[in-house]
Amino acid sequence: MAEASSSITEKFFLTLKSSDGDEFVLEESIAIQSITIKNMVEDGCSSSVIPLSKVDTETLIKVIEYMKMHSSTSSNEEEIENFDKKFVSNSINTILNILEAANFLDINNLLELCAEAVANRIKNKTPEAVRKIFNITSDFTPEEEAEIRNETPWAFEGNLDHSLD
Amino acid sequence: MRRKSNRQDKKKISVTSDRHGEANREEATQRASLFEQSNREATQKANLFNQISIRDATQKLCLFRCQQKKKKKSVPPNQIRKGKRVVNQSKYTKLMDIDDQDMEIHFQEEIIMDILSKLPVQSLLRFKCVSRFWKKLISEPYFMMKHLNHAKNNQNSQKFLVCQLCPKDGMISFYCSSLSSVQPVEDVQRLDCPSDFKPWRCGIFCCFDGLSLIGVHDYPDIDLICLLWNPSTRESIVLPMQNVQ
Repeated sequence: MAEASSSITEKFFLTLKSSDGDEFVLEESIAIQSITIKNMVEDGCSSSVIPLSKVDTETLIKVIEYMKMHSSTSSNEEEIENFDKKFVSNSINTILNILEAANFLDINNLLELCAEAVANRIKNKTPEAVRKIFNITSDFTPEEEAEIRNETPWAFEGNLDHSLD
Repeated sequence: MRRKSNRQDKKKISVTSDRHGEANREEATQRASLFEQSNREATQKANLFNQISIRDATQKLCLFRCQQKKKKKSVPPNQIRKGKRVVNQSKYTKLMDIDDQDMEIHFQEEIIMDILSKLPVQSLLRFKCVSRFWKKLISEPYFMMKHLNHAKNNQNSQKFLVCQLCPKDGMISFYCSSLSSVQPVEDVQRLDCPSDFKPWRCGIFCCFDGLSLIGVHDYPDIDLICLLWNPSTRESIVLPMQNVQ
């Protein structure tokens, strides 16, 4: 805690390394929005490069953009709202990658934002489209699937979305 | 606290009524209303107690989950701390790889649960046929609790149940909508009455946690049928009449 608060007077910088090997230098006060990084800082293991083996460069850039915008000092509410709206208009695959990174880095706001965005995108989709998006192969027999469909036929009615984005 | 002060009030009233006989009648009604109030409070308390015990149970479940989550999540920093010892680096990376695989499966479940908990029930019932894993997840009581809690706090979820009788053709229809004024009117969802027959008269008695208790009349001379209904899943059960009365 003491280390985190002392950053107000003196700026500390952390180096984050993506799974592709790219390094990003980031102000500590911005980076500790990630609880995972915050814990590392508090445990005193952030002096060298922090390797993020689960986050690729493209995703890490997006996550850093988000953290910079949401760090309390630099942006107002309207800016943040517009940023978030634009942020979730990324492709669904990008958002899923960010979601995974947000989960690993433990950034709760980002996690909520992305989960909500994915839910909004898939809520009218067919099960087939959802399988493709999440890279899932169905392990039901055709009979079993028909049985589930027959339990609640009304859930499969209406204009369903077949697209993958 | 409030109950205690009521009792004191009652005492005061009885003292004053001894002194001033004329005001007796007025005070008697006051007393009656006070009594009613305290009665109401007692039932409220009972209700509250019920809620608390239910909530306690779910909280325990949540807590248990959280603890599990914490345990798993606390792994990375420790691992990396180990990694600071340069000598052990190669060992540590091997260790971390194994743990990563473990966590991947766990995280996947967590992430999917996060997404699913924000979906409408209709989508969830559709996505039950995505895979066995999704079906299991959606059917889990813990997930249902999580979904309910999210829906309770979300202003766009459908919380408003309307039962409408059309005076012209005598048709009864149910509608579901959100309480948010921003929501477009098209989002109002029409529901079929859960009874096997076309109802003659119908009423909503009460709603709690997404369930509603409704009464349906078949014809004027036939007894009322009580149904416990979940409008979101459109499931219902007929309640035995003796218990209802």
